[in-house]
Amino acid sequence: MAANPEPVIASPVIRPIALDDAPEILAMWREFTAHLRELGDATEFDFDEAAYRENGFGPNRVFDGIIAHSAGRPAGYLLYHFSYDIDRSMRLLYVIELWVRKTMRRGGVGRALIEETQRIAADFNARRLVWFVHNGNQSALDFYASLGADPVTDYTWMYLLAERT
Amino acid sequence: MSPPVSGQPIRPPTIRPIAPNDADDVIAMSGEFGAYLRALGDKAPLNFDAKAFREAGFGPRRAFDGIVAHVSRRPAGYLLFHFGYDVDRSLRLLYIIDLWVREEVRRHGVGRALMAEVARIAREFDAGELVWNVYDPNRLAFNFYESLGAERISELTWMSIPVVKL
Repeated sequence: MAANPEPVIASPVIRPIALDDAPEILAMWREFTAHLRELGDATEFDFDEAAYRENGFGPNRVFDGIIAHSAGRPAGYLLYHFSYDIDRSMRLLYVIELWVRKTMRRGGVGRALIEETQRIAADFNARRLVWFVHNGNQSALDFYASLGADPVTDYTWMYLLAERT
Repeated sequence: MSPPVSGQPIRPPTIRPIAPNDADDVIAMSGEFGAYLRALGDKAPLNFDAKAFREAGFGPRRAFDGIVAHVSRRPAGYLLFHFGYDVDRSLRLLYIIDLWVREEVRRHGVGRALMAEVARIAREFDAGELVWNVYDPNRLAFNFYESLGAERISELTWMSIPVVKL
């Protein structure tokens, strides 16, 4: 990355996601998954406007989110849900996804999204943000390290298909 | 873990949703779980209590739900969970945040029955996967989950940051 040129991006405006954001979120999500694919993520990416509306705004909604605009244009988004750590008696906020458009980088959009999420978490009395990073995603690992985040290394995540149990 | 009591019949576990009145039972079992984790080297504060159970499990902004197992009317185990979402796969998830079966009632299908019931709850909610994490030294847990067909997730790094002003 070039040293120094001052970011010319207007400071981001952050607000909660709305139903009408579906096309913009999906456009940015496609950029994110193209980026992950380049890094070797083999996930069968599958998300669309119907899934956005149903899971973000339906009766059994499972995520919430915020969207950033710079100079009136969509610049990034962050989706989350809450969780709980029994061992520490502590509410958590899970960041499901965070993406800043490549053309909008270095203008503080990612940091502004995280700061707003910190505020939302504090309102909910959550004491940590947690999230996953694909191991190949070095720019994400660097960004989060710059915020002071640490990898959690003493635990292994597991999964099981619901239909098989 | 106590040895299998061969030939001794034990009644199948009864599983039902947790209720606020289960606070003392769940906290007693959670205390056993905490002692077990502590013995394995876990440094977490392990400070879950009845007040936290009621507030986070039944308050206005509940953070988890759960089920409790009884064998011969005695509390035998519990499982706490919440729902989540994997955007990249459009997949609802069920996060298991705690599962414990009392040591004296192991090997009688209590854990398996709790997992089967939570899988049923997941399917009802249209969630396709159960996910959870295991403290690395907890070999018994890995053995149990792998006996159910569970797999380890190795391609992701889990990260965390405290909620403080950046």
